[in-house]
This record gives sequence, C-alpha cells and structure tokens, in this order.
Amino acid sequence: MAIATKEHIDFKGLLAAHLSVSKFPETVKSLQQEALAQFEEMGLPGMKHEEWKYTYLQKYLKKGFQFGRNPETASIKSAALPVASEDAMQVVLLDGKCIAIHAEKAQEGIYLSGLEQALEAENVLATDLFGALAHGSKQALTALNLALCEDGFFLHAAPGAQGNIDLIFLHSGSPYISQPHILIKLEEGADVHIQEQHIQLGEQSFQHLVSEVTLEKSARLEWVKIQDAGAGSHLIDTAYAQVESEGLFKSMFISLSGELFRNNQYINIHGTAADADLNGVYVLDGDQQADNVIVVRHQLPEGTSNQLFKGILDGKSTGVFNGKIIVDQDAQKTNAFQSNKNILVSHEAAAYFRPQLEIFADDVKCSHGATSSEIEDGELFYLRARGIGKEMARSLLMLAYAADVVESISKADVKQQALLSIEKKLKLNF
Amino acid sequence: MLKINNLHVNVPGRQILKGLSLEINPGEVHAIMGPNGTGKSTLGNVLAGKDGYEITEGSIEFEGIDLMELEPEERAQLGVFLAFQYPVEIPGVSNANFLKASVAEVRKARGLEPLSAGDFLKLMREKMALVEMKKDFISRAVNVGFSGGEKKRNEIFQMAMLDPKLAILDETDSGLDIDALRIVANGVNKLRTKDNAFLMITHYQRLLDYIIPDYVHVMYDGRIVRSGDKSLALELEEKGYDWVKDLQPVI
Repeated sequence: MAIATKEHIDFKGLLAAHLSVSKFPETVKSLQQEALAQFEEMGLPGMKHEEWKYTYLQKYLKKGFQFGRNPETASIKSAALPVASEDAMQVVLLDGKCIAIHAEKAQEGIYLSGLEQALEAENVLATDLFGALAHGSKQALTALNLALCEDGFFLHAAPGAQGNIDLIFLHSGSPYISQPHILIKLEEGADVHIQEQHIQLGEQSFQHLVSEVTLEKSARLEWVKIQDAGAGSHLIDTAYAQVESEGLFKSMFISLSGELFRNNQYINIHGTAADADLNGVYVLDGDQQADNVIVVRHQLPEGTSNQLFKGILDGKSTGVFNGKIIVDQDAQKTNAFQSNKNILVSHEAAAYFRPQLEIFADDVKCSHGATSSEIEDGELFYLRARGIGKEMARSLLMLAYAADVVESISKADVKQQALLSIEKKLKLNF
Repeated sequence: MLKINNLHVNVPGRQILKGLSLEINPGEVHAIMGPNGTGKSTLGNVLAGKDGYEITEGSIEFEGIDLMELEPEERAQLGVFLAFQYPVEIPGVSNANFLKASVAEVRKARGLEPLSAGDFLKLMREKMALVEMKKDFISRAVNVGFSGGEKKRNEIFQMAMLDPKLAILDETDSGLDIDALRIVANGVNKLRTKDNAFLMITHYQRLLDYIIPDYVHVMYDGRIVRSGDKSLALELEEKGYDWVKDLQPVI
C-alpha cells in the first residue's frame, strides 16, 4: 500500500495505471503527463509553503488516505439521495465519479455531462477547457488533480441560458483520495446557480476537487457549497475562475462538519466591469480546521470584488483566511474589499488572517479588515432578558453572526437550507 | 410585588444608585422621571440582571424572592420584563424564531405546556395587532432595519407575548413620533390588568399623557427625591429639572 508521503508514493506508476485504461483524447493525456511532471517538481505542499503555513497536509494524509485509482466502484441506493430542489437538475458524484445526472427538469441551453464521458467522446469544448485555467498554476495539488483525475462533470450553458443545478458529492468511506474535476463554461448572459452538498456514507473521506470556470460577457454563476459531510471528512476545493466583462462569479462556502476544509479560489477579473463576490462562513469546534485562500486578480478596469469570510471558532479549532488582491496597472477604478471576522468562542481556538494587497493602478478603492471578537455581552443580555438561557442565547447569536454572510444567497430555498445546516451545527431547533 | 430597599449600586469607579427605595404593588403603574445621568436606566438594568453593576448595599425582592440571586433569564421567566431603551439588532434570527425560543423557555419555567405551532402563530398575530405590526414582521430579523419606532413597538410586542407580571419600560418614548407613541401607549394600556404592574422610566412628561401613572417619582443623583401622583409630572414639566436639584432625598 502506498504511504502518502512525497518520498514513497509512485505517482508515475499511478498515472501510468490511469493512462493505460483511460480513453481520454491524446491531448488530454499528454497534458496529464505534463501536469504530473510539474507536480513532481513541486512535491506535496509542506509547512514551508507560504499558503500551507497553517495547514499541515501530511497530518491529514497520514490518517490512512491514499492516492490512486479506487479499485472498488461503490454503488449507492437512490434513496440516499436528497431530493432535488425545486426546478433543479441534479448531478451526483460518488467518490469523484459521476454516477447520475437527473435532467428530468431539463433547462433549455444547459448541457450537463460526466467529465469522463465528455472527454471520452472527445467533446471539443471540454477538451479545450481541461487545464485551460488550472494547468501551469503554481499549485502542486492542482497539478496532481489534473494528472490523476478520472472524472467529474462538465457544464456548458448556451448564451442567455438559465440553469439551476443541485450538485451532490457522495463519499463512500473509501480510503482513496478522490480527485474530481469540474469544467464550467457559461456563454454570454447565461445565469446559473449551483448548490453543492456532501453526503458521507462511511466513516471517513478525502476529496480534492479542482474546478475551472469560464464566464463569458455578462454571465453569472452563483455557487453555494455546503460542506457538511460529517466527522472524518476532508475537503480540499480549488477553483480557478476567469470572469469576462460584466460577468459575476459568486461563491459561498459554508463549512460545518468535517476535519479539514481547505478552500482555494483563484479568480481572474479578465474583462471590464466584471465582479467577484466571494463569501464563506465556518462554524467549527473540536480539532476542525478551515483554511481559505483567496486570490483575486483584477486585470481590467471597473471591476468589483468582495470577500467576506466569517468564522465561529470553538474548541481547539482553527480558522484561516488568506486573502490576496492584485490590481494590475490597467485595472483602474477597481473596487476590491476583503473582510474576515471571527468569534472566538473558546480560548483554545485560533483565527489567522493574512491580507495581501498588491496594487499597481492608482485610481482604485481597496480595503481589508479583520476582527476577532467574543460574543457581545449586550446582545447576550437582550436574549437572556427574554427568558432564553445562556447557552441557547449564545447559539442564537452565533447563528445571527453566520447568517449575515448567508443572507446574500439569492435563492430563498438554498438560503433556507444553508441556515438549517448552520442551526443544526449550533444545536438549535426551532 | 417589587420591594427595593436602600439600593446602592456601583459601576467601576463610580457610585450610581445611592440608596433607592421603591415599592410597587400589583395593578399599579409607576413612573420614574429625572434628568439624564441620575441612574434611571441603571435601575432598569439592575432589575433585569445586567452584568457590570455591583450592588453594595440594599435589597431587591420580587414576590418575596431575592432577585439579585437570579440570572437574567430566570428573572424573565419569573415575570420581570425590561423593554430596552436601545433594543438590540439580531440579524439572522427572525422575530418568529426569537419569540418561539423565548416563549418556550418562559412557559417551560412556569410549568406550562409548550404552545403548538398553530397556537403560537395565533398568539403572535393577536399580539401583533395590538401594536399594529405589519405581517412581514414575523419573518424579519429581530430589529434589523427597523425604524426607532418599530424597535420600540417590537419591545411592547415582546412584552405582550411574554405576559410579564412587572414590565419596566426604559425610555420607551424616546425617539418616537406622535403616531408611534400613541401605538405604544395603546399597547401598554390594553395590557394593564389588576395583576400586573408597570415601571416607566422616562425623561419627558409626554408619555404620561398617554399612559396615566398612579405614582410619579423624581430621581436625582441616584435617589428618589420626590414622589407623588401624576400632577408631579406636570409640576416637573413646568419647573424643569433644575428644580429637583434642590430637593432633599425622600428617606
């Protein structure tokens, strides 16, 4: 059995095994080989890597997870699946493999496919998009995902199409690290909502997802990720997005149950007046760790980016927010803001905030701010003065703190579901 | 119902209440008036159990129970209600959920069965009508985006939901326009019974035109310096607060 350290894993062998059975187009296969070479040069990130300073990846890998092709294909009863939200198409991935696409509620102009299926069929667009944004990044894990990914899904929205998609990740409990890959392209004026959920069927799971998102002019994507798979789950989520003129990339991470949430977002404002709205809320206790790395680069003028991440940290949990804004010389009249706020419920919990601004244009508005606080006594008193006991009052205030972020979810049913998940985590029951 | 005897209260570095005594019986409405900074709001906060006040001397009994030994939630469950001068905004918690939690806890403490969802909603609608709350109020977050008047109406609404024995209204009239004042006062008047009591803390006489008190107390420098009936409020209005500075404390 391969032990998950840089020295001992035969990644080349793993790739060879994959390529020997893969029916991907040759261009994709050769990109996978290049990606592996790049990965091997970089190696698995250690604590010396600036972006991995607060998350020691080996600690999690050593729990018995391994890379490579999962020899067992788990099966799943459809009864275990959540009901699709109103008017939504549903995509189901099990251990990273696309096992079902429910398109009974088909939406005009929305094309959905498993990634393996799309690549095997030599879908030209999927083949072109694969690696277009992620390949050549400085991220070792991204290179590894590109090299070893076997499946995932592909979404293409025609100009002006409107889509609503439930994305369900099922985790069987396998010790294999799943590495799905998602390709999304929204043509001009398309508007898509994705709500992502995770369900862990076994005791543990480890997934590293890489997504590549291209938003053409005026296209809008809202992606809400509810990371609530349960104890023993580990999620690394890396997204690369390129936003063209007047487009909007909006994401929301709601990190609740699991050991590790590592969310990386690399957003490129590539058109004029394009926007990114990047949000997260993490409610942690025990040894849980949430580490958010956001890099927004403004290449062209008049764009706006907002980053709002809030944490509620109990036990010995750790919340990290690493936000970087780069404003190129041409990106005049950019507005870029980032904010990280944490409530430290326990004295043993820790919050880290690393803002970085690199501004090369002179007519821009950029700001960053961070606060760490405790529950406000005045608010607590207000609730207690209404007969609500101290513990419940604290939970209610924590919910309020988190809900402030969730508030900006545009679909009411998704917002409601997000709030319910947070209420459950806070042991509130209305 | 409430017996305050010789109450002395400090905040760090300063004495605020300097021997305040007051007795309130069921069915009575009391008003405490006085200039800013004389300790009126401190009295309300101390009765409701807010942290940060040190009681150095004196006693507070509510229906024979030593109130000072109780947590704020226990006081509320017993039937003490403070309508806040500055109601707190709680984004993310709807009025419905907030009051569901609140009413459930208070009922539990009083040994009552929890209300069914239907009964709760009915109660809520009934009490909302009392203070002329709009329908969307139920789903709105507690006090978020509320005007000053709406916040104060919400306090009275919460009071109606919890049906306290003793309600302390801390500057409930401040920041209200005349319409909101009328709504708030109507709400309070409809809630008056022979079994409950009200303590109104106010700076201005205006509120007392709408809610007629049985007793008016003038507070200055941490003590009650004069007590009387509603005519005392008019006297104050006429003479201004400078007048009370020369009054000796009522012992």
